[in-house]
Amino acid sequence: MSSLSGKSDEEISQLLDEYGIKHGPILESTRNLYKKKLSEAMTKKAKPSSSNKTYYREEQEEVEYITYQPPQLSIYDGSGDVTRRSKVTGADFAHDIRRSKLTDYRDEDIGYNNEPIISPARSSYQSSSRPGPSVSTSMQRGQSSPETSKSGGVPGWLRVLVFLIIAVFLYYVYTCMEPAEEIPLKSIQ
Amino acid sequence: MSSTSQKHKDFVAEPMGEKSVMALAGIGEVLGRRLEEKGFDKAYVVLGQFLVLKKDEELFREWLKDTCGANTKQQGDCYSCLREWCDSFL
Repeated sequence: MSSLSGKSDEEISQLLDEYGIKHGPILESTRNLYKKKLSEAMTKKAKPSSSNKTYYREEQEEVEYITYQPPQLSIYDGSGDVTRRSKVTGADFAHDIRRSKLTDYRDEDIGYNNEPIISPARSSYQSSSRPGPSVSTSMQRGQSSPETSKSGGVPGWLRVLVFLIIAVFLYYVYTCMEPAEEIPLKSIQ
Repeated sequence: MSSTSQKHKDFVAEPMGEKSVMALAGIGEVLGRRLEEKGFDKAYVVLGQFLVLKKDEELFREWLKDTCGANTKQQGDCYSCLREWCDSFL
């Protein structure tokens, strides 16, 4: 990185434009100010016009967080969007862990089956019950079940369980609809 | 508009002419002396700097802080004083 003092006025002006710094003419009274602004901008950004890249870097970092511990991020919102997940930063992690434990309780009671994201909730609930290898189990579950690329950890056993619940419920309803059999009618009463 | 001082009202009421730099709102004796040492002995010289910085608030505030050590309030007072003067007379 060349020193700013050796730059001519034109070069300073060009650098200011590259960093997107609004400026006036480079005069004796303004040169020091612009040099200071340029040095600040250089320390903040490695390269000029790299704001887009930093944005992507943040996204990539957050993706790493997602693969590391998928369940908590998705539970926080209750929606399956990647964009929502990308907004959750590492700082929210501690909050998400506590929240996911609380929401897991509720999710199990309600039996909310519309979204597949609940399955990572259950995996985290399971992992929370075992304080020792909680991280490793969640990671293993994330790796063992690569069914959904977005959530990254939908356990197979949970899907089977949900399916069984629905199947039993449907069977119950079906038997109730049969007028010939009296047993289900008695069971209703 | 936030409350402006009497100094501000006096300055923006008329053309600055040959007024001293200490007539600017936010610039007292200490800051005025520092500016004078740097060559900004009249209000119109500071106005010149303000215009050269394209009347940009951030640039002017930073310049003022670097040149005479003005704090945030003083920077804001001086900026709004000059900006309002420019709106009326420039």
